[in-house]
Amino acid sequence: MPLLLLSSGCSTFKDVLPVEIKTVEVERKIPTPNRPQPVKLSDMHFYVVTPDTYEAFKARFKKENGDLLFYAISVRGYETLALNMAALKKYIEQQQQIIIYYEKAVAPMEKKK
Amino acid sequence: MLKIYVLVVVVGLVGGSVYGAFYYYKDTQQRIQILTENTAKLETAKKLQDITINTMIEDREKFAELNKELQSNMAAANKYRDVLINKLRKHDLTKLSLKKPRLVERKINAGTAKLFRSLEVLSGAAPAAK
Repeated sequence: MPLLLLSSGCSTFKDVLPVEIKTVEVERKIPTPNRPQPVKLSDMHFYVVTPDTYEAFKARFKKENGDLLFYAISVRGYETLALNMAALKKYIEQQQQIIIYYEKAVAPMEKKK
Repeated sequence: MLKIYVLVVVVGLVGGSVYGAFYYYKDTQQRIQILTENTAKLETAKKLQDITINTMIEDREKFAELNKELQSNMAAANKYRDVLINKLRKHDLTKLSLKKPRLVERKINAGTAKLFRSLEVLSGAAPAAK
């Protein structure tokens, strides 16, 4: 029996060490792609022509553009074009706001002081 | 001879007691270790749960703020179209064009140029210096 006790050594009386479990929170980093190059739009010109100004317009138009060849658009057509452009602008703006929303949503959380 | 028997019995009793004590000690140590491990696991789980709850609360606040901002910006995007609709309602373009063709021509061309510039800025171009 004393032999048995001696053979078990000091390992029998070792201290119980506390178990340390660490959980480290790793924040996801989602890279945001670069925005496309900005557009460069060229200017264009609308001529307003009435029966009274038609002759003067012809001369002016020829002088500015060479040939007397043009695409005509009615007042209603112009209004529609303007409204369509406004709708497109609104759509682009809203899409961009959604992109900004997602960019902010995936951005790393600022640490509170 | 009797002495030897008594010695054997005493040694047996003492040995048994020591072994019992040793077994009890060993078993208790094992239990303590298991309980310590369990406590550590529970503490970790609790901490993790707290972190998760806090993150969820922060996320909820962040998304509520972002949503509010998005809704306001989405509504602001309607501004240009609303202003244009009001202008077209307010002015009879046909009548005005017949009366003042050069003025209307200047106005619509300036408006078109302005729209083009705003689209450029919207795509990321720097706004023109005033």
